[in-house]
Amino acid sequence: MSVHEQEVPVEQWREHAQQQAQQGRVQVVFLAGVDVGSGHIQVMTRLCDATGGDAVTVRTTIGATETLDSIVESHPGADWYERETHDLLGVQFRPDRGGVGWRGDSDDPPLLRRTALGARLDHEWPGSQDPGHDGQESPRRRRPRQVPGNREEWSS
Amino acid sequence: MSYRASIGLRAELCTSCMICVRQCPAWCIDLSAQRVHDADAGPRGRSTLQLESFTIDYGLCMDCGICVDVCPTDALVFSEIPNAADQRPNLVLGIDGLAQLVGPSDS
Repeated sequence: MSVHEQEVPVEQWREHAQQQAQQGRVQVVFLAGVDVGSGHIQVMTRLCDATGGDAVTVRTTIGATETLDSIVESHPGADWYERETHDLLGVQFRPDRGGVGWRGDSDDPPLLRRTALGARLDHEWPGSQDPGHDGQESPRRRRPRQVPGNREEWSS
Repeated sequence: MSYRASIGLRAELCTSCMICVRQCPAWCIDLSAQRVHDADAGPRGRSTLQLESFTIDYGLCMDCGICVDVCPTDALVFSEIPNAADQRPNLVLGIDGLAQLVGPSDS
């Protein structure tokens, strides 16, 4: 990992952000998260100086029940991103300022692997049909079509 | 110019292979085709798929361009003609609507 990408433990997240601010990286380019599986979420933020030339990406990985210290104190620009990450991935920040008010068709955070999206459950996958074939052919010849990356694969 | 305004279809090139439908991450493409058998083509004849309908739901399409990339016959092309509609149902374009999005330089 290069100098411009750093991985820190959860408990050092806020302290590390404060150090970045002291070194001049006071602006937040973005803050987001990824469900990396096994109930863990990787949160990352890109911090840069006022010119945008000196930047660093900081990552940490938290468990499903862990809370993450907010970095708004040292980086006020992270406020919206933290609220968004709270809504989309269910990450709990401390102190908790809620989300951006996203309302989906499920109570589950939509970007978690385990969340079933209503738009996918309501419709049959268009690719499941086989034009010109009536389904009476030998099963050896016609393999069943499945959605690429089905939910069972996502959650593994 | 190379900006992505919309995606057009040259239906005469489409072989109904379904690759675009199955690759689309937004599930916005739908097509149906009928198998036609030409008994005079060769000793055992030849079966081909004839496109019956092809729709792109621009309410779902995110212009990712995967369908354009994977189309083996270049039937799907990026178009410079912008696509807009006043009502949600009008964002679903069929063969004729998609043909109008094919610019003169793409035809």
